[in-house]
Amino acid sequence: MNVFETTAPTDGLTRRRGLLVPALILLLVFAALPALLAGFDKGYFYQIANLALIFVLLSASMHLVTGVAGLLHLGHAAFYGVGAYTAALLTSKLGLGFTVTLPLSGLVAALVAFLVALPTMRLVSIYFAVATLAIGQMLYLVMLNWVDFTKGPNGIIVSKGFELFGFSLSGRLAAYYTVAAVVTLSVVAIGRLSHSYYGNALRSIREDDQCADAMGVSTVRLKMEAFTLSAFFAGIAGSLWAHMTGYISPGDFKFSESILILAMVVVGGLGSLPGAVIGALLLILLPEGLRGLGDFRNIMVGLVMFLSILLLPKGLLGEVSALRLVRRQLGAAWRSTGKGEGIGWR
Amino acid sequence: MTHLLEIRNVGRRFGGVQAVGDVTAHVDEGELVGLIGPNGAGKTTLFNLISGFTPLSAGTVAFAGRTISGLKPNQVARLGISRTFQNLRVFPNMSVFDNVSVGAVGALPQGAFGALFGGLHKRGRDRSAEISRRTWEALEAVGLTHVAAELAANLPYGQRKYLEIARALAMRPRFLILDEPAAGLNDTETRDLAAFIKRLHGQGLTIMLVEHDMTLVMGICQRILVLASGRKIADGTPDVIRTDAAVLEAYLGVDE
Repeated sequence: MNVFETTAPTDGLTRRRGLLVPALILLLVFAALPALLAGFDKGYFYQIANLALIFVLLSASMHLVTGVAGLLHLGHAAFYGVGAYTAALLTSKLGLGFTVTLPLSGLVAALVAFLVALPTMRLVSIYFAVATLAIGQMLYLVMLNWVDFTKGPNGIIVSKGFELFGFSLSGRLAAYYTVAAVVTLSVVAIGRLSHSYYGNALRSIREDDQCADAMGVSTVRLKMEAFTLSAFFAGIAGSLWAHMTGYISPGDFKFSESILILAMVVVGGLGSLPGAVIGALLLILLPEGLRGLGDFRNIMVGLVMFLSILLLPKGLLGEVSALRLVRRQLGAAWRSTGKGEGIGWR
Repeated sequence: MTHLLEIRNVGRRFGGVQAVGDVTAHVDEGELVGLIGPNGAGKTTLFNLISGFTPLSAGTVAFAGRTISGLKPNQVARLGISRTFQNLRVFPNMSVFDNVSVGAVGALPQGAFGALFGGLHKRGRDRSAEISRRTWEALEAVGLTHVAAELAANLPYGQRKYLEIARALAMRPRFLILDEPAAGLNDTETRDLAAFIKRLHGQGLTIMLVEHDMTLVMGICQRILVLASGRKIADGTPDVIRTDAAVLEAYLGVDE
């Protein structure tokens, strides 16, 4: 009857790492996919692969704030924009390279998020959502209208591609590897943040913030952290985008992009990091795959989103099954059950 | 000797309503105190005043010699006061284990930095292991280890009650506040709960509970505070309370 050991597994913090799934993912991202891309050798495919990876990061970062901490964020693309503009301006005005602009883009986006979050964090539910909508619009309008600084609707040309401490990584394959490495590391970091006791504290805020407060969780502080961290990773994505395309303009960061990222998180499954990744891949690759349908493709994409919400309200890979998967396959949890499933986090 | 919890002339007004007025009371280390009173007497409000949920309009609350009035609920909680809620508040979309771990991580915070890099050094790993251990022990204390991986929303009502208590216990509190723990339980379940509360008390935990079920309160509490219309009308052992004229009047009304 009792499937768990009845004694506290204090000594039995047996770490079992299911290495198969992470190994397969790494193999796919860093070997199979680049081999395929090199085989086809078409710039367009590289472009799609990089775009998909960047949106994986955007979706994963929004998963942290919206899926885990439960804050409905309607201005995420603006922080993506702050990161991209930071990279572009640092490159065009100061001649700095990617090695420097990457961390700075994240930090500037995080700083902006921290400052705007200060007055808004005590707002609840829909009021917070509307505040983030307003913040997103404000940032977008700054990019659009502060022509002296941002060049407004003309956008900025980012003359430098990827590099690492001066080594150029601007070839197609090298650029793909750069994007893939940064995105993978970031997603792993977001995975640590959401699959840990820290992540549990964030989830408790989503579930019932008053009750979380009574359990000793500093709700306001943790909301700030989730919001700021998610902006940091959006800023990182922005820097990747700026150096990848070589040209950015405010249109890349408008409200509809925020909604697209939100849709990725929701279609994938709120609270589920693997879901957020799958959602991003689906909503980037599907429209590309359906190019043959011409203008109908957007209707098809809308239909897929509509049906997935209708038929799978918890998303493609909902939180519960995703947590189980992560605990079993990615070795994030210590094991104490007899069912080969871990509970608790390392 | 100072009392563990000291409530001095505490009052709370909601608009024109004096929910709690000029209540002075105390709880000593190791006591099991009951708080009773007719509906609307201000029992839950008093709990909310102690745990920082509702700001005081008047008076002070001190815990372990330290003034806690004005602190936020999470600060009060980290000082060692943990509570359950009248209307059962578990985190429905989290597993039983994860629910309880929130109490442990609340008392023993793991920050973003710890989550990111904790696995890389011993201190961080020890912190996670300690949170896991406290969580598991709290689950053992209430006997819910066999459903640790279940979703909290899937538990039957009675088990969710214990889940809430386990979450409060995982904080390793010095003082536990139970707001109507027996509400919605049948007689057998209430008896089991009474035995469980007595056992917790026997392990040295100081407990205060609000309860409507008189047999439960009279049966296990060493001392009982009685509130009526926001004021304390009696304070004494169950035997004293049973025959107290003011208490009988408040509960039964007076025969003119």
